[in-house]
Amino acid sequence: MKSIITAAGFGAASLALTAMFPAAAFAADSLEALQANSSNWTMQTGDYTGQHYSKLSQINTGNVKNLKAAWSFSTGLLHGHEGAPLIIGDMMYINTPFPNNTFALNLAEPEKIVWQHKPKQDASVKSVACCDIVNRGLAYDDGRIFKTQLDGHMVALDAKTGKELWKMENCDPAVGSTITQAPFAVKGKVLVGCSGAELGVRGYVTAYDQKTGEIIWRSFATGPDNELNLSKDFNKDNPHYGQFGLGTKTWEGEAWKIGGGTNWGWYAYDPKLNLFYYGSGNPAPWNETMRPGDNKWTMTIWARDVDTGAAKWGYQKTPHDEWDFAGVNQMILTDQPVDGKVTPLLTHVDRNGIMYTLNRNTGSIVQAAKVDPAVNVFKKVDLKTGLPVRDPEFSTRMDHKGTNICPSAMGFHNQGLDAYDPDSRTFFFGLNHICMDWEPFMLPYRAGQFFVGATLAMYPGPNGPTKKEMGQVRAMDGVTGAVKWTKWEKFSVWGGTLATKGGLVFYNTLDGKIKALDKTNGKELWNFKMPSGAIGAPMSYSYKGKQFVATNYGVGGWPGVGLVFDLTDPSAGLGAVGAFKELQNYTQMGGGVMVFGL
Amino acid sequence: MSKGHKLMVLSALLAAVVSAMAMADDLIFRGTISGEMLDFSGLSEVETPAVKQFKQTGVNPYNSNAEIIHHGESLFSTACSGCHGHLAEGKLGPALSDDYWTYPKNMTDKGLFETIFGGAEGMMGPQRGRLTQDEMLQIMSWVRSIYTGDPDKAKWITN
Repeated sequence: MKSIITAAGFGAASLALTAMFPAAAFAADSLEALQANSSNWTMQTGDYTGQHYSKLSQINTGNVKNLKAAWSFSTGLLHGHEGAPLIIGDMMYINTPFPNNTFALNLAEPEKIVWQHKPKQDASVKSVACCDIVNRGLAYDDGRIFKTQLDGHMVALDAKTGKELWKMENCDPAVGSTITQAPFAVKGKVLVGCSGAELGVRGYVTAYDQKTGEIIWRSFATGPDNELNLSKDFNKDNPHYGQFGLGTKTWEGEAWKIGGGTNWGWYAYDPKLNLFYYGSGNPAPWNETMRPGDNKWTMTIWARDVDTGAAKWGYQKTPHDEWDFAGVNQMILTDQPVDGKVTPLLTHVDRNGIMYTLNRNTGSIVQAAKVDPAVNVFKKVDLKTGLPVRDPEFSTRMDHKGTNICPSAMGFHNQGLDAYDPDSRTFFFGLNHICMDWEPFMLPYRAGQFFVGATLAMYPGPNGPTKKEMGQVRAMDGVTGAVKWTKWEKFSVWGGTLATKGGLVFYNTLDGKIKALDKTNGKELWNFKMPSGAIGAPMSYSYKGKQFVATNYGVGGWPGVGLVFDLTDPSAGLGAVGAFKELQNYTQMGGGVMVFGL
Repeated sequence: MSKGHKLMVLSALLAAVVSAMAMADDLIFRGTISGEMLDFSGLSEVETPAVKQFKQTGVNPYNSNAEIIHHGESLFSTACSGCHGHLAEGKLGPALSDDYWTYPKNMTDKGLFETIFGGAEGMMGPQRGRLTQDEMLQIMSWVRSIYTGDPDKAKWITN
């Protein structure tokens, strides 16, 4: 059965209806069972906790120096390859940037493609993607592969044959709404958002029935409470975060309708609390003078019931954003002692340079620490009120060019997936170290066109050893905020990190190296230069008792969009990608998968 | 085949011939990357006199129209500034106000139109269907008006 149904127009009117049909009780979750077997790599975040951690230890600090390329696969496409392949049993599933081709390989015979899915999409959607034409990967559950297309479609494929089972239009590219996000499969549903806050798209998250593609619920980031889908006791543990009516009151007039807040980042899920977590993105336009108010609930960490989508709590990290600190980054769930008591925690490194650790049951703040002292937009976060304390010197406003603002709009952390090592209770954050100048300008809103209104220049932050470094891997304690070690990189560590039971931290560099560090001190133990720079994180799996590390390569994404410039163009090196001009001397576009083994 | 059906086929053929004749005087426009002829069929817009004139001459009649140039700037701010910058100074995409062109044919208005309508590498997707052809000409007129490069390289200036 193949059904193509337009769902982009699905409104809040249906929410009341869906609430009357509670989701059926599901038997033993097959995806959870697959996750428990560390031979597999079942989802982009590693597992539901988002810890991006592998329990495999065959490759370890003692033998990693012998790690060698085992095989490779070219996707035949250039542009940024974010995300990572999935491993389900003896199959590997690979996804690509636009036009979003998918390949299935059997690990017994990876030289042969088992099936391929190549959707046809209108190329004009490329011009409404904000920052390259990336895709953050696939999801799997119960015999189905779930994929997203840049043209706004959510698609289910038969994992055995690649046959299209259903296809829904989730985001409307006519108004500038696209999908770059990886879908998230949970409890018979598949969750997905949209991109497009740069074009004034109003954000929402939607749950589809895995079997039929029918919408189960949809919850917005801005607007009236019923469309926000707030529970009756929303934020009851922290009423000072704000509760009801704020999705409209914190905007001028009806600006919330074109106010952004799209979510295109990562989800995490706690089966005990039945809550899932994600962040809504930046308000639109970037020019803050054009949208007075707190602009709720953009820039918010959300905890929602997975069956109904109803929000239990929401915490807005950056009220009235002035810098494009889209709040969509990864949510990592851990259980750690706080004041002697094991507490359910959520840790999130925001674009704004703050590492937030919250109680994921109540939303209460446990810690809010700068990931680097260079953060200057905020002096600190007041843990009592939850509000950031701004430094007006680094605010942005009309008729003013702000300089030396840290972080830059790219954030000190962006879409990378970071790892947590439960043994040492340590996070390994792949960070940007980039600051900026920012000058706003006024522009009208036109549906389907960019709604930004700011001119930016970016350059390395102040704290690297030679002052030229733009990236770092930093080991941190999520509860105390203490930094354990730092490894500086010439370019952003855009893709994030993978931690393994073997005591290793793997990550990719923009200039094309995959590296392994000793988790205890950050010492580099191994590296390999790949055909092109990489902007996703590595993952690990085992096949027939042998551990492998695999990764996508293919430079691009926001830091790599400048690679389409000619080096001889005098304007290459200006603006938002200027900091990465030198990247062209290290790597060129490419795209594929590399697999490493002992 | 019924008589009615035959008539329909005949009139469809006639329409095709007539439209081919109407385009006979038009220049051939080609995709910047593919080199293939651009397809202008199926657009939901009525070609304005300026578009018709441009298709035949490759000369943008808006280049000297101050009012249109002003409106072109507003269109540029939403359709293009996100990548090319507020004043076309270059951002995620290259500057358009200097005399360096990623695709040298953009030095002519025909070439620039082909790049905008049919798209290029990277994030420069085709604007076909997103902007009307008339809006593309309006935006081009503003881009030409802020040119800072060598006048000798401004090949679109025809007189």
